[in-house]
Amino acid sequence: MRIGYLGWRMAYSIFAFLISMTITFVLLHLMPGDYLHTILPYLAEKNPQATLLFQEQFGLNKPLMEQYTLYMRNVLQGNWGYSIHYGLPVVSLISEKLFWTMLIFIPATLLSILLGMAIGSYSGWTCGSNLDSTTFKLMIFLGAVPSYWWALFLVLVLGYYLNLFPLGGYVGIETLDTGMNPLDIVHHAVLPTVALTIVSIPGIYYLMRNSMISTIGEDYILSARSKGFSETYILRHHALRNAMLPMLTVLAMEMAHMIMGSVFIETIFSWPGMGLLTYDALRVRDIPLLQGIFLMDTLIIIIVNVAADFSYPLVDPRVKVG
Amino acid sequence: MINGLSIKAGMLKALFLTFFVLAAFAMAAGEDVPEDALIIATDGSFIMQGNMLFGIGSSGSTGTYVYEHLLTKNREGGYDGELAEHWDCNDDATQWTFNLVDAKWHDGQPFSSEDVQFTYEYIKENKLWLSSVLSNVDYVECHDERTAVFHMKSPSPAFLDDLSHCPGIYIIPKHFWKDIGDPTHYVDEEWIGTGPFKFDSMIPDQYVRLVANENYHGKKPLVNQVIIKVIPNKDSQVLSLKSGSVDVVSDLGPAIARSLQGEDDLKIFTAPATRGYELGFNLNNSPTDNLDFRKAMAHAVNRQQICDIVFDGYATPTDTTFLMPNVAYDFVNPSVPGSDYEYDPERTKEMLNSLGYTDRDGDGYREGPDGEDLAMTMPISGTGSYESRIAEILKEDWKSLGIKVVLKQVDSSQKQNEYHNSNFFVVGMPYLMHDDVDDLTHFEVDSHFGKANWYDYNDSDYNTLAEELRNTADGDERKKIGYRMQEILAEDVPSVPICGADVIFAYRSDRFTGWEDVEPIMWGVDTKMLLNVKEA
Repeated sequence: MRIGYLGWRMAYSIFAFLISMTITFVLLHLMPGDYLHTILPYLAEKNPQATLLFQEQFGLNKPLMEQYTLYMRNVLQGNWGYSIHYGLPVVSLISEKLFWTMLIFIPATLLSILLGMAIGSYSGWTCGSNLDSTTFKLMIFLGAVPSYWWALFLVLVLGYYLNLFPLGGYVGIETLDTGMNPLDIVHHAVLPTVALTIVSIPGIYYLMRNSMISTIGEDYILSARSKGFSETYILRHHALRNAMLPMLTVLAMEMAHMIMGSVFIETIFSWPGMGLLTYDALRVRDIPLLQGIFLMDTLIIIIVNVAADFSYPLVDPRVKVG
Repeated sequence: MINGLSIKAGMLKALFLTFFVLAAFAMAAGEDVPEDALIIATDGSFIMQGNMLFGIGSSGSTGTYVYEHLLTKNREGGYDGELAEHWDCNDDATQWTFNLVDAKWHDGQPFSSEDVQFTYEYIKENKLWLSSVLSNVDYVECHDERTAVFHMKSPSPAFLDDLSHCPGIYIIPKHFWKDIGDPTHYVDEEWIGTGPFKFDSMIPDQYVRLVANENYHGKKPLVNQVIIKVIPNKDSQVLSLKSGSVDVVSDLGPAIARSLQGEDDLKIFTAPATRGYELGFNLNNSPTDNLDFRKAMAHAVNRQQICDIVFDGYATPTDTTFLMPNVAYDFVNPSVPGSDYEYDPERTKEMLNSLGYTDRDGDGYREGPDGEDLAMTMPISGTGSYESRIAEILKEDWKSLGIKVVLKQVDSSQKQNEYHNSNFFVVGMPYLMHDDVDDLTHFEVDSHFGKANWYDYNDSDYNTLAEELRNTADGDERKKIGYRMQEILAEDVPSVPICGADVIFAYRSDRFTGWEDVEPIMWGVDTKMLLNVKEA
């Protein structure tokens, strides 16, 4: 890998981030409505002075260009501003919520990758069989059912009727007396993790299955068979490895997407992650917080894309980056 | 031959492993709910912008258990004292005097009139948006430790409304806040108020525990502790109620309420007519700029049908011009609108025919007197809100009258702007906007701050009366002015009230009782209601 390529890639990423900052700023300022009209519509409507004071308080009365310059400068200096709704610095708020999202997202991603790839590759390997057909239909069903339905189903069956898991939240009420208990948090995280896993599996399954179907027709698979290797060996060491390559980019994007959380799943499970935060910020028109969330999203997408680029040679030594 | 068995076995192993991991965590999920703790479900943030100066959270109540206004509005058309025990104004309402209670802050410091003066000055000096509520206050004077006097810039007979609700002014402790220079970026973690409950502890985004304030100056709480539990989704709140992990859920939909009826240990009760719904007309746009057209349409609102279909019976038709009788009492002029707004579709048809609004081309819809199609719009936001559902019913109902209305989807934040570009709009407002004669200024042109009202209604007599009302402190005189204003409204028909919708609560009767005895002023459990609740 050339240092020059690395430098070019970094410069390109920074440029993309700057463009994204500008687009975020413009779009959010084009968005109709403001915080005060959402929270206290009658006060804001009856008493426009409240709106003027509110704008002055948060610097929204300054000319747009001045707001833009300030925003760019502050973001680049690491000051992402304060959330209007929560009164907290945007960065600390996002970090906190990101932690809770990651807590369910990491196991959900690992599980969905593991299961999606395992089932997808086997389904592709046995393409046309009854098992493949059944699995394919099952995945269509899993993917077609909306995430909030799965969340409600799990809460209702495993939480309410079977009383195996809490109905929501991230800790039990006894935490007020005993303090946080990691096992209690994990217990609360199981259902949202399962719901996230269920909704993520079909996408990975389809891709892996298609990738595997393309791979099994390759000459090197035929060569491997002619050498007398077992089917399991060929699947694991030849087909699977090659079929995984196109998965990397998609998985990187999937991870970035999942990091932003799921509004439905987090709302139904009262899980205080990024999805719920984004929904709340949009609902009340918390512009500084929305800017922070979208910038964080951009950063994560840029980082995982770069990471995916550089990880290709690890999966396939023939690929040279840069 | 594919070694399928081996792969299947691997997959099975993975599935079993997953199941095992899940099962390992699946310990008994029932929460150990403290017996003496009342658990209230809430749907969002406890406090906005980090501290009380920016108002209570979307849940609508947490802060009020801890902090207090000088006084608060009640359902009987008057005010209940909180930090003020008596209040009075001079003849022209330019000077309001409040005699304060003997109270202590939660940290043990005494409460005094200096705290009231400080609250006003602090809000104003820091230019917080809340200071707009006090824009007519000139200065606050402390006559003694127990007397605070608000000197107004001009007569302010409705000043108590400003202080008491929507959002009202909560009094803050001077000794705590005087050293905080930047309230906009200050996150309060101590919540020192004077209210019946003291802040004890919290788990962010999940629980807040409040304990009874044994030194409370008013009626002592009957429960030892209150835990506020954040559950953003209403269905999840109901499941928690049924499972026993919360004790009360508020603002339920009628369908959910019906489904809970008959459940063991669960009871439903309502706070009647807490939201008022009306059909508004825009008077700038044709044909709703035509008074006779509006009068005809006033007979085309089937209030009972709306109460039955949209609110499943949890609403009462409103037969006044704007104020709601069960909360505005004798402020309502009983002689208007009479039968002017009575549901009578045949009469609507006759009136429209006589005005020349007939179906000339046989397409089932009426054209205007000029022969042109009537292009009328009504803005809605989403499809699930009560406003949208009322609009849908009106639209369908009016088809049989030959009236075609297009429902225009707009962002909720833009809905009020869209009223000016439409013919009709349906709006729901808290009953606090319909309970006082002062609320009639809602129809005044350019109101206080030079902004057009929703209806683009502009009647010089009405505006004069509104100005007169603003400068009149005498209650009887204000009532007379209000009566006259209602007569003008009945004649000009800028809006047709539809109904007052109930707020529905569900609670666990095996744990706590006393809920029904006090009706809340908004759609959550408020302090007055909470002070009446005791263990079952």
